[in-house]
Amino acid sequence: MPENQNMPFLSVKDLVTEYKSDGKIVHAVNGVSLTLDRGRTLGLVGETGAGKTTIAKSIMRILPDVGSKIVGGQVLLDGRNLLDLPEHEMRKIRGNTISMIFQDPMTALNPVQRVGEQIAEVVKLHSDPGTDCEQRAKEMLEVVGIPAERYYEYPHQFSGGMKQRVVIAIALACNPLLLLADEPTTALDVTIQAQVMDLIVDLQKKFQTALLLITHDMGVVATVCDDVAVIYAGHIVEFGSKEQIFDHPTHPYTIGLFGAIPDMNEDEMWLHPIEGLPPDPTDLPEGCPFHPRCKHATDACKHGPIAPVTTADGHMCRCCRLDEISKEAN
Amino acid sequence: MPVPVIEVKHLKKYFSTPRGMLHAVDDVSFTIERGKTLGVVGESGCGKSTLGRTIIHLHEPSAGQVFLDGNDITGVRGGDLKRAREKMQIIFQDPYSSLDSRKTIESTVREPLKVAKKYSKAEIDEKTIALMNLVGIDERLRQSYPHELDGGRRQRVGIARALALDPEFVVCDEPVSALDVSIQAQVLNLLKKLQMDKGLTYMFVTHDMSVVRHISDDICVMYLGQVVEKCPAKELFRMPLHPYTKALLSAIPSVDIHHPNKREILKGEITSPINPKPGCRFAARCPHATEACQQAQVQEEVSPGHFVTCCRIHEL
Amino acid sequence: MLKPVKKKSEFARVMKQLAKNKLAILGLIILLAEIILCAGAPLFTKYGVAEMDYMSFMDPTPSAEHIFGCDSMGFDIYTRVLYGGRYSITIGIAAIIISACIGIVIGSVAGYFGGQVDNVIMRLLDVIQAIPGMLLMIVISAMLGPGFVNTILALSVSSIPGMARMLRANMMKERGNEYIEASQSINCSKPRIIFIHLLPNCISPIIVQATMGVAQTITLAASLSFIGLGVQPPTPEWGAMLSASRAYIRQYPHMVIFPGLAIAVTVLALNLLGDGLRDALDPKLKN
Repeated sequence: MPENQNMPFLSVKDLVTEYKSDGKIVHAVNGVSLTLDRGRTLGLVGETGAGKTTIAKSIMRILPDVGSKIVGGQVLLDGRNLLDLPEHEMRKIRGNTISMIFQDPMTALNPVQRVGEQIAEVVKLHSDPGTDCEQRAKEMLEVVGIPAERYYEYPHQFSGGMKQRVVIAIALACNPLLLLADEPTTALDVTIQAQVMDLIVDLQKKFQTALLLITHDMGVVATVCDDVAVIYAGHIVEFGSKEQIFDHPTHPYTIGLFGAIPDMNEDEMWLHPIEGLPPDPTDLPEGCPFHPRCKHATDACKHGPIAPVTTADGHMCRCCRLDEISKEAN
Repeated sequence: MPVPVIEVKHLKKYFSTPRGMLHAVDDVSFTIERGKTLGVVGESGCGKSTLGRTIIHLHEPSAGQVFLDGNDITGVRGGDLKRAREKMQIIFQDPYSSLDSRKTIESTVREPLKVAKKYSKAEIDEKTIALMNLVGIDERLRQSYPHELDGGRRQRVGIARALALDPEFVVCDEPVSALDVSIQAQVLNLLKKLQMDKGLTYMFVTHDMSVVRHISDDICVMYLGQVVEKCPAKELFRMPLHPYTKALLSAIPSVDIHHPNKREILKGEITSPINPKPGCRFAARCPHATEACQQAQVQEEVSPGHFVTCCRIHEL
Repeated sequence: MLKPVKKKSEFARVMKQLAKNKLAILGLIILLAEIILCAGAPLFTKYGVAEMDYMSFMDPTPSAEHIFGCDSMGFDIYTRVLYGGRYSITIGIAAIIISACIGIVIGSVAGYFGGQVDNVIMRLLDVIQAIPGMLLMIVISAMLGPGFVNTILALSVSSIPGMARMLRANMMKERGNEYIEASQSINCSKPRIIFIHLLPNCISPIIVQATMGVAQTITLAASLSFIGLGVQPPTPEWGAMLSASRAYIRQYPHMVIFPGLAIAVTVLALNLLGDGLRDALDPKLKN
């Protein structure tokens, strides 16, 4: 694999993805750019319908065939644009170089196939003939903390947390260089979530995988991510290192998001929700997509695309009133 | 001392399954004072939702007693059950399945009033409007169907339905866990405001520790059908005593990046609530388990108002 | 006070959805056309249903006088297809309405109460279903004797179990939803829960099944008539017409082609409509 020193491992540029639904166009992803290096973790945070999952599916090119389309942009993986590759090339990359973990472990496994065989199948598809797939599958089970004897059991014999471990084993069986994890612990209980999240991070550090973690849980982001991208209505409204985002959030949406979480250390009578609702993705407001809910919004926010402002240390914020807001805050 | 709105004594709810008796709720006792909120936390399958449903008699209790305003309502039927239910309502977790998808918002909110057969048509109209204003649903949405609304609005409809008959006690069964953070805060504020305005008493069932800390006065921690710890909310977070509570609190990913939680990762997973052995049900995962934990456990008041069910509590 | 808001009727919504499906509309148009033609049969033909044309014995094949030709008795086939439609379509619709009504009640009770009630009802239905459908109809027709009303009864009995089972399965699925618990907690009575809440949510597959069931019943009625147990000649039911003309299939195929075509077109139209209804009845599909 050619190693390019100055190029980030994964670089998504101006990605635009649309769906068609009942004759209307759903603007799911609107010009998203992000970068991610090997061994790093990028958290993609946002609310339901913000386009997080669509970004991951666009990178993997597993959008449903009917009605959805990547309209523009590039997905550069090690310098190669995945969006230009023919489907048969892409098939070699999926599950091998890039893997994805889905949210719901209950439906991600085939209920009538033994769990071990489901891992072995992926190995078989992506390795040289003659590889002992069963052996590799058993190794992977051990890696995710399941005894290899359970190779022959069926998914219904596993609990939710165990199933998600199997899903992780499948995703990591071919040592992917890029792992897309879509809310991998949302369906799990908090004590199990902690186990599974630790497992993902351990394995990621061990194999130097680039991890794109999609979540709505700020706590999970704070615990495991290096960088954070905040998505709102298909736009990245703020991007920066974990420290930048958590210590100095600048976009009104990010600030609002933190404000809405009940504080674990302080007592407050009332929470501070963001008023209003996320916009309808078939009918996005002009200008900044957040302006109808933003208390700092002026006329300037209602027109034209908002240019991203990036500081010297790489903290990007897409807000035209950035300076005024930070002055007000101080 | 005023009579508590809800008093539960040794409540049990077992379900028979092909593999044996499922102990969903096993000997739970507590009281909730008027206008207060009892938070019930625990992981999936710990019986917290069943507990709420058993108290308001959506399930018949297997054993034990439930008192509403000091009256024993365990196993009441007919008209008594009707009257009891009017005072106890429930708000559900899933705003999708908890509303009838073929009924308009208005007819869902009207229904309890209509079924109660106490009000004239004009009164029902008036009350319906008042309820929708109370929970903040715009009037022009009256004729909408649930699928045309977002999760937060649907949850407001569920709240309006629960409040239609002026209940005293409301079981909130994970009312915000299906909602996004920004919407969740809107709904939590609404619930709190309603409680203050109407003097409601809540039992708030959730798995989200930050939500439960915000909304509750007291908190019960449940594990496999049993209460392992019960105390005032702030105290639980300041000084958790039961090993399970400690593990639960430490597993929450903190949003404070400079002071991450000291993680105490539990081994293993929740065991099956079917035919559990006597003794501490958490013992299999507990880092401090000893021989003594195999014996039946008793609840103990460690400090005023702070109850713990753990035989090794003093050593720890 | 409540200001009147424009009420969106469920029917209007379903029709609007249905209008988007071209094939379903085609089915609906064909069906309506058939019903108009059959109901107003005397307006669309100059012959009477029992009017013999003795000239046609020489050459019964289609001609300008008899566009579908004549049958072995000298009756005009076009006329008889129109009159026959009255019987065939009525049999189909009546039998399905009867079986749907009974099936809905049985299925609701079994599905809502479950347990022992469900067990008893289901085993009884098993008994009916264990008998091959055609055989069951033959037995019932043979017992009651052939004829129009008896054909309807025979056909409805044999489609009750299918309806009941389908409704029961839907009820059991819907019963688990939280809105049912919600209606319990606001003191709704059992009949109210079943008929006001559960049934409207379970009924759409039944409507679809019934639409397609009409088609199936028309074919079955034709089969019964064909073997001589259904409507008796000279009543011009489509199946009976087929049956009466089967001896001439080699010399004069038009005698079976036109009644056969009438059956086929009706069945097709009903199936297209049923498919369209399936989509249109789901309120969760966006407008």
